[in-house]
Amino acid sequence: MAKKQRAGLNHSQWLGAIVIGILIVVLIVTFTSKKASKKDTKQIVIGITQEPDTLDPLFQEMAASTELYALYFEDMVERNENWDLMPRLVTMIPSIENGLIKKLPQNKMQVTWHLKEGLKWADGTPITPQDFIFTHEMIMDDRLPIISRDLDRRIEKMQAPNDHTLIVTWKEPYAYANLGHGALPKHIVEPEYKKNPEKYKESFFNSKPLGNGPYQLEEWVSGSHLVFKRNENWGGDKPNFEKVIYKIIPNTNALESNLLSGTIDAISPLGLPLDQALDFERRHGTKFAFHYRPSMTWEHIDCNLEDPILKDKRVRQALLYSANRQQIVDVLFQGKQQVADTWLPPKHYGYNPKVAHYNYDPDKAKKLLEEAGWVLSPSGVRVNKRGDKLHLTLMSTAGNKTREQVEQVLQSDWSKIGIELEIINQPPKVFFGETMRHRKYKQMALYAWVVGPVSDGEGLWTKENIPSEKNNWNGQNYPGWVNEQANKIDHTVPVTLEESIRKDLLQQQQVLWADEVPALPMFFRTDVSVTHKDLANWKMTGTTTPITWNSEQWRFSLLK
Amino acid sequence: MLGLMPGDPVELLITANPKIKAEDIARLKKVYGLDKPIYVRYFKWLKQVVVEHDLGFSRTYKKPTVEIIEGRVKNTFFLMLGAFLMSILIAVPIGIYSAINHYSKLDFIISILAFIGISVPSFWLGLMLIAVFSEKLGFLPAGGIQTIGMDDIGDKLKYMILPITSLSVQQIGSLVRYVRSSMLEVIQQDYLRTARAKGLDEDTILYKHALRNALIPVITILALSLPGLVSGAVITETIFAWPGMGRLLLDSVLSNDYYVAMLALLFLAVLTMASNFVADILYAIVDPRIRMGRNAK
Repeated sequence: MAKKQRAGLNHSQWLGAIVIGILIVVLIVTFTSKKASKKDTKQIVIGITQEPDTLDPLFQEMAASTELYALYFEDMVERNENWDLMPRLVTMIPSIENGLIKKLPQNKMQVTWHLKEGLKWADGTPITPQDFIFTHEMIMDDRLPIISRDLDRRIEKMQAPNDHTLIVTWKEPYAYANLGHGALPKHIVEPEYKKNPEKYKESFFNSKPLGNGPYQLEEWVSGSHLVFKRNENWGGDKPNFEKVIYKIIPNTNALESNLLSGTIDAISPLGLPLDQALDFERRHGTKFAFHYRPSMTWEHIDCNLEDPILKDKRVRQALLYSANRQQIVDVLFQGKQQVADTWLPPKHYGYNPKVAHYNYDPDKAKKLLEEAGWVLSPSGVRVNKRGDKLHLTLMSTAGNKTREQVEQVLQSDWSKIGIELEIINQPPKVFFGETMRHRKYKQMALYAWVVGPVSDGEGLWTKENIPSEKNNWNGQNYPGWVNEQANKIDHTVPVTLEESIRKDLLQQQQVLWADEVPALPMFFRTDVSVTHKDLANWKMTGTTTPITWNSEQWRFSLLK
Repeated sequence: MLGLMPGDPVELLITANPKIKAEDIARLKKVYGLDKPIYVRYFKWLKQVVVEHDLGFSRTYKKPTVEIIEGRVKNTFFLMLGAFLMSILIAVPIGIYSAINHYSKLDFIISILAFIGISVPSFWLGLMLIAVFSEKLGFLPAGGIQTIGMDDIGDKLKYMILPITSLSVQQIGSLVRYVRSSMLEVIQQDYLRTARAKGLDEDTILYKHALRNALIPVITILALSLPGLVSGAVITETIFAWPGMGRLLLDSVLSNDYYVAMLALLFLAVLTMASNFVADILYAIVDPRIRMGRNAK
């Protein structure tokens, strides 16, 4: 027995030594490895939840790719934080007034672009109109997976009379022809493309692009980070940071921890959801700068107008009057989002502030429902003459916490006026890929559209764009709204060159739309990002123009 | 199966952008070969792999799949190997100790800690480790694989400590329980009493006779966890921003990136078979009765 105890003691010492040995190794590594240098003011590290798909601008699909694009590419024309158009590669933005946009016979149009002198790609090669012409040809090549050719398919031809002038002939007038064209470095891309056009989609340019922006890609470690270094051949003001680093951190809680531990200096707008950012601000509001900017992401509920209940305008109006949207915004988002009255945001040039407002008014809602033949039954649910219940279904994306909360508030609001709401949520892939794409939603669908600074209603509200088997499920008019007057306006806007006329047309369209409310406008989302307090010139745009639009101006204002 | 999943990403493009037309979707599907029936696509891929030795390209990242997977496999391998070794080195001695000193106070404490280890959710543990060691104490990095711009082994090891710890805790918990129960069963066998009666010393009894027999079920558990060395751990990788196979496999399945998902699954299938083979060999090493050949007759 004594022998066994001795042996046990020896074993425990031996076993304990292994465990302690591991702990010692861990501690040595923790304390002796080279410490990362203190806050490096020559670079900025930004945390982002999404990894870009590709850095070749021709094939980009993800928002993260768009955010990075503005670091290493510069366009002919860009927007600033006030959405003003700025000429970047060109001397002047074409317009009818300055004569650079001309109407041609046979309803064609010509736009002339003058490139600035001394423009260079990052390798020092001059940028010429040939780069733009070549890129347009690539975009129109059916063998390449170009996502949208909406702009380029309207172009008849591009010509370069000299090394600084690009003349674009359009098949018909196009309102947004002054937004410019993209270019790839022909001298780099063409040999690869010509070698095998079908294989070009797999080319080196996806991960090693050469651009003309303030920074150039130095390193991309898949799934981990991307490092951009200053482009010495960039013609603009010298960027303040030597390097811009994007660290990919998919988990938003880990994103917070990385900011708190000083691993990153900023969280990209593609980082925290608004509710988490508000909570983070409550806990650490004094340590960081929180940037909020109303965006153009329009949260709304599409109403299926083929449904016998919802095809009655009064029911749709009653739904809006009885949804306390302001309370949703105040309680769920601390008032940081804007209640929507129409499908265009207040910042859009065509926004009409004089459309019908549907402020919370349950009495008005009840009256409208009664006019529509829905009377309150003893069970508390409204019924029609036939005794059918006023039962509606609302579909959305499962797992989206914010939308699920909104649905619950709506269910409660609508039950107060006798509407029974059934919530059916689906995984986003099924909801968008099947249910919406093929208009399989029964009555209502809650989701969002991203509206751009020049968005018009052609794709969203014209009768030709109601997806059906007949038109091969083309278009995004999921409610199936048909209004002949609005339809005419929606087709006229994109081919009207004068902005003042377009504005007037869009405002007329919104009056018609807000009266009929084929979709129930909920609110415009707010973008949020969090940064180190000393980071200057971090200017969110609230639109599709990414945060990186002025990356050359970013700097730490007080740190040395 | 992947091809039957609803919500093809190419189809989804049209619901994200009003400028995209049905003709764009048809064109993109043709370019990616998605306009063909599933079985045609499968045999085309098989031919490509066998005849042309081309494992396909990633529709999402526009790169050859091999290029994407090789970096991820390396990252996952080092992470999971670290967790695997740490689990064995800690759990096996503790499990043996616990069995030898069964029903002692320390055995109870070890058992409670093992159950806590098994029960604790890895996402919670990961976040707690980050909160304590990165946020509060500032000793260890909150995530990633290395300090950007620093190529130092010590630095890389530092980045591995928290994810390895997070992964190991659960494995240690279950392994301690397996080793303990297996060892406990063996040390109560008659042949060990006989060995003691023969006057063998305790070390020989425990480590030559008891442990080798107790290891057989443990080897099964360890061998089954070998494919995990490359399949990765989605939650840990996501929390610690570790670019490994777990995240890649999940992302590729969710985004219908067929070739990446197929290659990753193929790789896993091969590894599962290989690990079963390794387990069979190890059984033979630790237990002579299992060996085939002349001695076993």
